[in-house]
Amino acid sequence: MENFTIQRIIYAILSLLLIFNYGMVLRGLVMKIVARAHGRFGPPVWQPYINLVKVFSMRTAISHGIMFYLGPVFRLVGGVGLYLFIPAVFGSVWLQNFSFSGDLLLVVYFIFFGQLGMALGAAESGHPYSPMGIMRGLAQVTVSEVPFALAIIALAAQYQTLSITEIVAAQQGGFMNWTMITNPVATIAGMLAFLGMMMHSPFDLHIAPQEIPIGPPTEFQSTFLGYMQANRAFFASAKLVLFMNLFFGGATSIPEMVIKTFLLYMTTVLMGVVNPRFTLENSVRYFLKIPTIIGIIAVLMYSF
Amino acid sequence: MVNPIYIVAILLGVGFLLPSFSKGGTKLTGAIFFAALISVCAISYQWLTGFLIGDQVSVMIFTAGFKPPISINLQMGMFEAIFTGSINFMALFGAIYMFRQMAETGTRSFVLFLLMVLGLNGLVMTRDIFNLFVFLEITSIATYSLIGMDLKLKSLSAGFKYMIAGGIASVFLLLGIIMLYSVTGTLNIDEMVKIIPAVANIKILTIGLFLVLFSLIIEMKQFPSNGWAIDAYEGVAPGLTGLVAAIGTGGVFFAIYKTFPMMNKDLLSMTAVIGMLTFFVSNLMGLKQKNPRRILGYSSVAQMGLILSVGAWGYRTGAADEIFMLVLIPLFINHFFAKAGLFWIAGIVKSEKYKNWGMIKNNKIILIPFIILVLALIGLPPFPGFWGKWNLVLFWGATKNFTWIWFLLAGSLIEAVYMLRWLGYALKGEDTEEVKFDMTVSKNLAVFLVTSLLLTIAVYYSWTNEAIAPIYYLPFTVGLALFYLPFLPAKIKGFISMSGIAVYAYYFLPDQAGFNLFFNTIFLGGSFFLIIATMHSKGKRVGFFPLLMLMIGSLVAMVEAKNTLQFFFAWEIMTVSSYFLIMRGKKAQKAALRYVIFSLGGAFLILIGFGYAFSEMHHKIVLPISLLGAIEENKSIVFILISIGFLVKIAGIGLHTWIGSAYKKAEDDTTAFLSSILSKAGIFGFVILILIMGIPKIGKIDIAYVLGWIGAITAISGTMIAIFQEDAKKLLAYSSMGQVGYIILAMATMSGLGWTAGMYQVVNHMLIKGILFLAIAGVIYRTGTSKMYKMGGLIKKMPLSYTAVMFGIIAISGVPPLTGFGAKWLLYEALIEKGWYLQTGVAFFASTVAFLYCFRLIHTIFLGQAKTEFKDVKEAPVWFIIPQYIFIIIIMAFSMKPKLLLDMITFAVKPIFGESLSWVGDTAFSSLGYWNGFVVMNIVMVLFIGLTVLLLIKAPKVQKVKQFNIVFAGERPETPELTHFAYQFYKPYYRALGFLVNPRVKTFWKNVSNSAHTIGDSLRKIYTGNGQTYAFWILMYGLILFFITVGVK
Amino acid sequence: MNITTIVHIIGFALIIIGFWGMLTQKNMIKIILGLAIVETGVQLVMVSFGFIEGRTAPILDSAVELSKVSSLIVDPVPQALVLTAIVIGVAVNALMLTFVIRLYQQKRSLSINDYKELKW
Repeated sequence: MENFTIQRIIYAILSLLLIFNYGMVLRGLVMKIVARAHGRFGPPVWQPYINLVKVFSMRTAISHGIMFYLGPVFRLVGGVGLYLFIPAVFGSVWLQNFSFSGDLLLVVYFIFFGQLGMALGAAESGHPYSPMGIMRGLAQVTVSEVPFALAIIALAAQYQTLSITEIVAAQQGGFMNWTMITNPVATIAGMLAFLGMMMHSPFDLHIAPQEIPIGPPTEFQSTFLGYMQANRAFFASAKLVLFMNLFFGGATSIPEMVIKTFLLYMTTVLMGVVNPRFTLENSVRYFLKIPTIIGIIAVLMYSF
Repeated sequence: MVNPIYIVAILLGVGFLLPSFSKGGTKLTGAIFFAALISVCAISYQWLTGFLIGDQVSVMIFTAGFKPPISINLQMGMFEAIFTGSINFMALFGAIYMFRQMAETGTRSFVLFLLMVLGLNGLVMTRDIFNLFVFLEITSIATYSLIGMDLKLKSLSAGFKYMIAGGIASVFLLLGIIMLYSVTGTLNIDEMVKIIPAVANIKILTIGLFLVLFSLIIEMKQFPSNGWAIDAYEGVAPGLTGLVAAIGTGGVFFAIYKTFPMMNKDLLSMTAVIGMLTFFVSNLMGLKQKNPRRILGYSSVAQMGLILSVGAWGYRTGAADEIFMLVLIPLFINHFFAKAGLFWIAGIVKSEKYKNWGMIKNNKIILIPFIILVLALIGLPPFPGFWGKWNLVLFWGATKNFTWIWFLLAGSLIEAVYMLRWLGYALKGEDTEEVKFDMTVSKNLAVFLVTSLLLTIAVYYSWTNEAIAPIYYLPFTVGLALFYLPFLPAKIKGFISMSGIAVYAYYFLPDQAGFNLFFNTIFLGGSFFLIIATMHSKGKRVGFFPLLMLMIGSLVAMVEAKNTLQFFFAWEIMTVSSYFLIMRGKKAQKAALRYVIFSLGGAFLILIGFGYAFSEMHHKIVLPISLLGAIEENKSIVFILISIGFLVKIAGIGLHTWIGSAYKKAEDDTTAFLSSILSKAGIFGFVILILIMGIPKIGKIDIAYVLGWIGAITAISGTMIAIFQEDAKKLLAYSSMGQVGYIILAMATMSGLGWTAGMYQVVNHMLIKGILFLAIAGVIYRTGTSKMYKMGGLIKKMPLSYTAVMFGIIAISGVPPLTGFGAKWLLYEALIEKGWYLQTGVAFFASTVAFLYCFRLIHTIFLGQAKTEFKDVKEAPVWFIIPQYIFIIIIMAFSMKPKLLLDMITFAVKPIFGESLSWVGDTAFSSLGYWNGFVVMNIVMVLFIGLTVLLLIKAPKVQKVKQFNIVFAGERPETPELTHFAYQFYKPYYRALGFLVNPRVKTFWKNVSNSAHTIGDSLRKIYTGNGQTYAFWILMYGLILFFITVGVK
Repeated sequence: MNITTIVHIIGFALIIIGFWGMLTQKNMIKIILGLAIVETGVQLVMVSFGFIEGRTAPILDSAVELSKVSSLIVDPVPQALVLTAIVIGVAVNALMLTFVIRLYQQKRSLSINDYKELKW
C-alpha cells in the first residue's frame, strides 16, 4: 500500500482545509436554522469563524496543569486524525487522506482518542461538572456504540470487508446499491446510534447547558477553547463522512459529499430541535432497547 | 534379623517387670520404658530397611514349637514391617509427647502404654483370628485405662462411650469367630482363606464373616456407628488421642485388612461403600466444627473411611497388593503422621475454638509444623497423601469407577475447606490473650520429629517418582535457598530472585520453541521486571521471596511438563504458593480461603478429567500429556472437566467470585504478579489442552462455540462489575477478569487469526496490568488507602505514576495508537471472519464499557480536587516506577512496530493454524481488513507534536491558578471532599444497568456453601452425646447391613 | 430338639435380652449388666458350637483312651476360647465399673443422659 510521500501530505493538508471550512460553515448554518426554528433571527453563517478568532485572540490563558494544557491537543489530534483515517470522496486522489493506515475498526476506535484525552484534561481542572459531564458522555457512548457496532458488524458481514473504500466501492452504481437500500435494518440501527453520537437532543445531557454549565469543557477558555471549537468542525464532519460512506453510498465528488452530509446532519439537528432531553438512565435504556434489538436483528440476518 | 517375636517379648516382659522397679522412682522406670520402646523401634527399623532397601522376604514365626493350626503364628512381611515400624516409631514419639503426663501418673501408665503398643504390634503380625481378638482386647483395655488415667470428666465420659462401643464390637467379633471356626475347623487365617471357597454356600459362614467384618468396621469408626469415637477424639487428652488416631486405627485397619481375603465380593463392596460414605459424610459434618480437636476427629474418621474403602476396593478388584503399595501406604502414612502431629499441636495450643488460633502466628515453633501438617493432610504435593490420591484416581479411572473419583475429590475438597479455614485463623486470626501455649520441650520435640519424618517421607516419595524430572525441584531449590536466608534485606533477596530467573532463562529458553517459548518468556520476563517492584521494601519480607520463586518456578515447570503428573504437580504447587502469597496480605484470611478453595476445586476437576482420560489409556503410572489427544470415548467429558479447572484460574464467568477479594487483599505488588503472570497459567492450560485435544463436540453442540460465549460473557461481566467498584484494586481485578475473557473468546474461534489475537492480548494484558497494578501499588504505598474516592488530584504529586496509568488505560481500552488497539483489531477481525457476529457485538460493548472504569480509575485518583490530607505525599518509590517504565517502553516499541510482536506470535501459531496475516511493509492484512500500526503511530505523533508546538507558540505563558480557582456559578468551593466528584461515580448508569451486576453468582456459591454446612449440621445431630444412642446406631446399622448383605439371600 | 439347639436358643435369647437392657436402661451400671448378659449369651453360644452329642469333656485323664482321643472328646478349642473370652469380659466389665464410679464421683449421677457434654 502507499506510504508517506510529499504529495500525499500536501493532499492531506488540502483535504483538512476543505473539511475544516465545511465544518465551520455547517455549524454556522445549523445555528441559523435552529434559531429560525425557535423564531429568532440568529447569528450570521460565519459566526463560528468570528468565535474562533475571538477565543484565539484572548491574551491570558489559565491552566490547571499539564494534562489540562494537553487536553485540547488530544482533542484536536483526535478530530483531525479521525478525518485523516477516512477516505472522504470515492475515486478522488487527493481526498483519500491516510485511509491506508487502517480499516473501519481503526476509525471507530480512534473516535475515542480525542474524547479520552480531552476527558483527562478536563478532569484535571478540578471542576466537579467536568467529570460529571464526562461520566454522562462516556456512559452514553457505551450504549450508543452498541447499535453502531452491530450495524458495522452487519456491514462487515454483508460486504465481507472492513475496508471503508471497498464498502463504498460496493455501493456504487445508483442508489439502489446503497447500504440504506440493500441493508435497511443495519442502516436504521446505525442511524439511531448516530443520533446519540452527534450530541443533539435528546442525547445531549453531557453538555446540557441548563443543569451544568457546559460539561467537560467548563474550565477551558481562550486558545484551549479555540482548539476545541476547531475540533468540532473536524470531528463532526468526519463522523458525517463516515456515516455517508457506510450507509449512503459515499460520494464521488465534493458536491455530492456536501449534500449528503448536510442532509445527514440536518436530520439530527431537527430531531434535536423537536425533542426534549433524556436523562442518562433514559438514554441508556433507550439505546439498549429498540436500537440494540434492531442491531441484533441486522446481525442475525447474516448469522444463518 | 532379630526375630520379631522379641517385639512381643520385650513389650510384654518390660510391661510386667516394670512395677517391680517402681521403688526406684519414675526416672528409673521411665528410662527402662524408653529403652524398651527404642529397642522395639530398632527391631522395626531393621526389618523396614530389610524390606525397603534390602531384599528381605517375608517370614513366618511359629510359637510353642508347633506349626499352625496347632499353634499361633506371626508373620513379618513387607506390609507388616511398614505397619509395625510406623506404629513403634509413632509410639516412641507419642511417649515423648506424653512423657510428663505419664510420669505424673506413675509407672502404671508406662505399663499400660507398653501393653497398648504390644497389642497393636500383635494385631498387625498375628495370623490367628482368635489371637487377633485377644490382641484387640489387650489394646482396647490398655487404651481405655490410659483414657481414664487423667480422671477428667470429659475423658471419663468419652471413655465410657468408647467402652460400650468396644464391648459390642468384641461381642460380634467373638460370635463371628466361633461361627467361622465351626465351619472351617481352624482359627488360622491363612487356613481359613483356603477352606472358605469350598464351604462358601453355608449360611453360617456368611453370617460369621459378616459379624467379624462388622465388628472391625465398628472398631474402624465408620459412619454412623462412630459417635463415641468422635467424642473420644474431642474429650480425651490430645497426646493419647493423637496416638489412638494414628497407631490405634492403623493397627485395627491392618487387622480388618487381613480378613479381606476371606470375604466374599458382596461384603467387600459393602465395606468399600461404607468407607466412602464415611469419608464423604464425615468431612461434610466436619464443616460445622469449631473445636480443633473435634475437627481433627471428623477428619480422622473420614480418612479411616477412605483407607478402609480403598483397602476393600483393592481386594474386590483383585489388585490388592498394587493398591496397597501405591495407594494405601501413602494415604496411611500421610494420615498417620499428619493427624497425630495435628492432635499434638492441638494439645500444645490450649484453645477450644479454632478462631483463637491467631496467637500461634508469632510462634514459629508451632506454626511451621502446623502449616506443613495441614498441607499434608489435605493431600497437596509433595506429601504422600498427594501421591496416594493421584494413584487412586488413576486406578479408579482405569477401571472406570468415575463416581468413586467424584466422591473422593468432593470429600477431599470439603476437608480442605475446614482445614484451610482453620489454617487461615492460625495465620491471620486476631490475638487473644486467653490462649495459652504449653511449650513443654518434650511435646514440641515430638511434633518436630513427626513433622520432620513426614517431610522426609514426602521428599523420598517425590524423589523416587520417575515421572518427576529434576526440573521440578528447581523452584524448590531457589525457594529453599531464599528460605534459609531470611536475614537478608528484601533488596538483596529480590536481586537473588532476579538472578535466579535470569540464569534459568539463559539455560532453558534457547532450547524451547512454539508456545512453550512464548509462555515461558512471558512468565520469566514478566516476573523478572515485576520483582524490581518487590524490592521497595526496607525490611526483610521474610517468607515472601521463597513463595514468589516457588510460584514462578511452578509456572515454568508447568510449561515444561511432559506428562499429566508433572503438569498436575506443578499446578498444585502453583496453587499453594499463590495461596500463601495472597495470605500475606493484611486482612487476606477470607479472600485467600475463597481463592484456594476455588483453585483446589478447579484442580480436582482437572484431576477428575485425567481420571476419565486414564480409563482409555490404561497407563498404570502416568499419562503423557500428548496422549490426551488419543482419547475417543470420553473426549468431551475430559475436555470440559479440565477446561473448568482452567476457567477457575482465569476467573471465567460463574467461577469468578474469588477474584475481587483475592486481588484486593493480597499485598499490592503481589497482585501485579497475580494479574499479569498467574492469570496466564489458565490460558496456557487452554493452549496445550486445545492443541492436544482440539475442541470436541457433543452431538451437534460445538464446545468451542460455548467456550466462545463463556469468554464473551466473562468479558462483559468483568467489565460491568469493574465500573461500579470503589476500590482501585478491585476495579483492576474485575478488569483483569474481563480482559482475560477476550483471550478465551479469541482462542475459541480456533483460527489462526483468533489465536494470534489471543496471544497478542496475553502479552498486552501482561504488560498493562503490570503497569496499572504497580502504579496503584505505589499510590497505595504513599496514601495508605485503595479507596479511590479518598484520593484525587494526585497528578501533581505523582506525575510519573499518573503518566504510567495514562499509558496503561489508553493501551487497555484499545484506543490507537497503543498496543491495545492491535488486540481489539485482531479480535474483531477474527470474530467476524469466523462469523461470530453477536459475540463481536458483545465484545465491542464490553470494550466500550471498559472506558468507564479506565476513566474512573485515573480521574478519581489522579485528577480532580486534591485532598488536604495528601498534600505532602511524594512520588511513588522508584522501585515501583522502574518496572512500569520498562513495560511502557516495551509497549511503545510494540505499538510502533506491531510486526515485532506479531512475528513472535506467528512463530508459535503458524505451525498449527497456518498463515493468518499477510504483510506488505508494515501493513498487516487479514482476510477482512488491514492495519498499519507504524503509520498510525506516526500520524498521531506528528499531529500531537505539531499541535502542541502550535499551542506552545500561541499560549506560551499560562497563568497557574490555585486549587479552587474554578468557575463555579458564583459559588466558592472550599472542601475538596465536596468538590471532587468520585464516590458512586456511575450512579445513573447503575440505576439503568445495575441489575446486570446483581451478585447472582456470589449468591449461588453462598447457597452452595450454606447448604453444605446445613446438611453437615443436620447430619451431625445424630451424635447426641448419649452413649446409649451410639449403641443404638451401632446395632441398627448392623441390622440394616445384615439384611442388605446376608438376609436377602 | 437336641441340647445344642436349646443352648443356642438360650444363648441368643440372652444376647437379645442384654442388648435390650443396654438400649433401654438409663442407669450406667444396668447398661454394664446388660453387656455382661450379652457376653454370657455369647459364651453359651460359643460352647454349644464345640459340643458334640455323646462325647466327654476334653480332659486327658484315665477316662479317655489316648489313642482314640479325637473321637471321644468334644472339640476343646471353643472351650479354650470361652475361657479367654470370660477373662477378657470380666476385665472390661470391671474397668467399666471403675469408670462409672469415677463419673459418679464427679457428677453424682448414674444416668447416662447426664454425660452428654461431648456431642455433634
